[in-house]
Amino acid sequence: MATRVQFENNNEVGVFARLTNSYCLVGIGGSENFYSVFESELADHVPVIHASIAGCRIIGRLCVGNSKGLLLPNTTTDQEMLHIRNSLPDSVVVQRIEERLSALGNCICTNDYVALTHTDLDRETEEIVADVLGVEVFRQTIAGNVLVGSYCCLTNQGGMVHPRTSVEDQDELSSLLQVPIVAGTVNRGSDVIAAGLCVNDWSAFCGLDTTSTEISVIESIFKLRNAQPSRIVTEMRSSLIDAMQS
Amino acid sequence: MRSFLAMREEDAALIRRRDEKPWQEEEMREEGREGMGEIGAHDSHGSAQTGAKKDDGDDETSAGITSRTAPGVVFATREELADHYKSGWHRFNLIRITRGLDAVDEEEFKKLSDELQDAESSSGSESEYSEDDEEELRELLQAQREMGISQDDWEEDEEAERRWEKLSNIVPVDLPQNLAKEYGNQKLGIFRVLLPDVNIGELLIELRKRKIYKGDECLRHKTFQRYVIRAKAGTRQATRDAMGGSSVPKSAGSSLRRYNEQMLEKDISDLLSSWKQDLDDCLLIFVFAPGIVNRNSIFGCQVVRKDDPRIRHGPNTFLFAVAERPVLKEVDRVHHIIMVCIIMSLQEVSEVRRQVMVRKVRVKKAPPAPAAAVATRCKLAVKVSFLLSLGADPTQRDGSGKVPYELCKGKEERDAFRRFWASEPDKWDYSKSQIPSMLTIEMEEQQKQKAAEKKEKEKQRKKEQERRKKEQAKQKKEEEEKNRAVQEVKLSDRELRALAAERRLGVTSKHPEFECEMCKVKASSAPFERLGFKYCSTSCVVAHKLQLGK
Repeated sequence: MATRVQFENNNEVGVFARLTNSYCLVGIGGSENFYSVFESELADHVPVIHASIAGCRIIGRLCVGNSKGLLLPNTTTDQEMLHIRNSLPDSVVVQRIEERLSALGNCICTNDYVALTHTDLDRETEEIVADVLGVEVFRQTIAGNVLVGSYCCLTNQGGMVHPRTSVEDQDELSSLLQVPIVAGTVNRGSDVIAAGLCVNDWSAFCGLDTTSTEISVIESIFKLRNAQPSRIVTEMRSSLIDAMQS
Repeated sequence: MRSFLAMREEDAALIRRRDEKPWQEEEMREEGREGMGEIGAHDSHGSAQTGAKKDDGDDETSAGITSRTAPGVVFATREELADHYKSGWHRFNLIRITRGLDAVDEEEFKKLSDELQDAESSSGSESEYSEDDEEELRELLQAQREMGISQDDWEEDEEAERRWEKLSNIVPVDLPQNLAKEYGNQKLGIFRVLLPDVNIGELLIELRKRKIYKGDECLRHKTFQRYVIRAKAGTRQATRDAMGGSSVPKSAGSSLRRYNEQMLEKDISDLLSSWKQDLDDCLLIFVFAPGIVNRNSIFGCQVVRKDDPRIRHGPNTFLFAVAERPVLKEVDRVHHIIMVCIIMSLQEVSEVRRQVMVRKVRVKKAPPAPAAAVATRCKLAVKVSFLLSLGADPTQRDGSGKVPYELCKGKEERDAFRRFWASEPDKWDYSKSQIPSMLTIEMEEQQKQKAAEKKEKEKQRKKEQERRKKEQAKQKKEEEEKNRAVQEVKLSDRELRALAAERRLGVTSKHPEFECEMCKVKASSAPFERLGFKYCSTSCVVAHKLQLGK
């Protein structure tokens, strides 16, 4: 289910949180309202962690990660990194990277298999992304925008891109990513998808302004209707067993 | 397997495709089409939204995958598409698309990249210099002309910048008499550092790695290596010490480095003293010693003086590349490059002049360091007028469509343009060069006079202000004196004496006079305070407390 939430009267929830299948980072706010919404939805399945990066609350735009790893910009302090590493499950690799484009969340967009990156990202960074997150990395733009991390939201189930993305581009992306892609908006028409939405394979959080139409698009493309975290395991298992049988 | 796939739900198919095992790959490829079809089918599922991608399953996918960055190419499988994404062609087109240009096809891209590679190889060989540097520079000029066509293409910017720097260091001069016959209408390109005495330099010194040359032959060289740079932090210990003020680090490492620095300086001065004879014979001395600390270690021993006219600083101020690690090989390389002259045709000469001018002004946009920026800025105005007098075109626009005047950062350079207009009002169509107005000598005179007048006025104003301030202070002092005298008259004899004593001793009471709450005696010492009351002594405090208690 998609949940509407606000961060201190701000609808850009994707800016203040980073949600993946194995953890959730939440920016430190003045009150616990924002955090508790995430906690009530997710706490049974994944750790929900208070974090700051370089003293900032905009962690969703600064870091990027999936269920296997988390990449932090070089502005992250040692203390913050230590806190994040201690709070995350041991299976998640945390790495800080030296990259000129330090708002990693804006420059990289990833699920557990494929990542799209900014065209100007360092080759080294590209390799680190591939190694730490265990993904195939492709340089791409979304509707002519280089900030793929801002204009695209991606999970293992589906992806949502900038509303101006052409149908051909959507076809190309869905062939590349191997998930269905849809163009859409959040927060009553905002085209900065990733800023208004954080989503993983079984839950989504969007800004309070998001209309019910937008929510229904989100839920259908990310397959969130009666989605349960356990579903992944059962489906994965069944497909694995199928593969063994054949 | 096929029948099974048909049975499954779409989502499961997606997940399965990712979990495919190598031994299963063949089958999966077979099934690929079907899988893709299911993606499409799934999409038409979410029909609530308008922007959703809808393809009609098999028909669409059997036509293959197309990519915006690969116009005219159809990929049969996802793997082919992924391979394309790793190519330079994809990246090139992506950047073109973000700049609002059309994607180029593969042939065009190959042609462009070949050109680029030519240009790159000519500048790339800098690191290990080839015998034919002349050839290299020639290629450079060639590449230059080509760059002019596709200047705004992405990868070229930095490369071009370096090439311009290199070019701007070359000055065309007339051929010597004996060669002029042979080469006719051509000119000699010589590195700027060797000017004005065009004799080819015969010596090159570099900090820590030094070498003396005669002609092409190396006479003496010596390299020192000492532990002076702070690990990780990366500056020299002396620099750090100078920065810290009172907080000089006292760690074992720092004292080790300080000792090493002393020894390095001693080594250098010893070496230079032993080379004194050779150095005195030199025509030109090239020094690369960036920073005060390095410079002091070279010039500190007085073998070579700082203001020696033979000294040329560099190499990064006059050579194209930022100096690499100061090893012997680098000295050799720099020496070799400086030694090279090239023969240029007239066309090339004009090209150099024109380009250098446009670029030089532009290079300054990102000065390497504030100190250097100041230095180049002073010289730049001279350079601008020099180039203009040579016939450089001020209306020429660079790759981003800017005229040289727009690229000027300082007033000096802008004035150089305006002055040139005044001197040659009909040479160019100045309305195209965006120079606002001419600057004649009379105008400058007038400006100067105005500035002088203003300065004079300012001076007068300041003087007046100073005088007024002094007067006020004096008045205030007098008033205070008077007040005190009045007060003293009111005081009793004993108090007067005490005050006089205080004044004699230089003790001035900071506290205003107060009346003790208990004994009602006036006092001007520090009061004892309790509950807002003031007392002259502790006994009064206690007494008043008891009184209040009652």
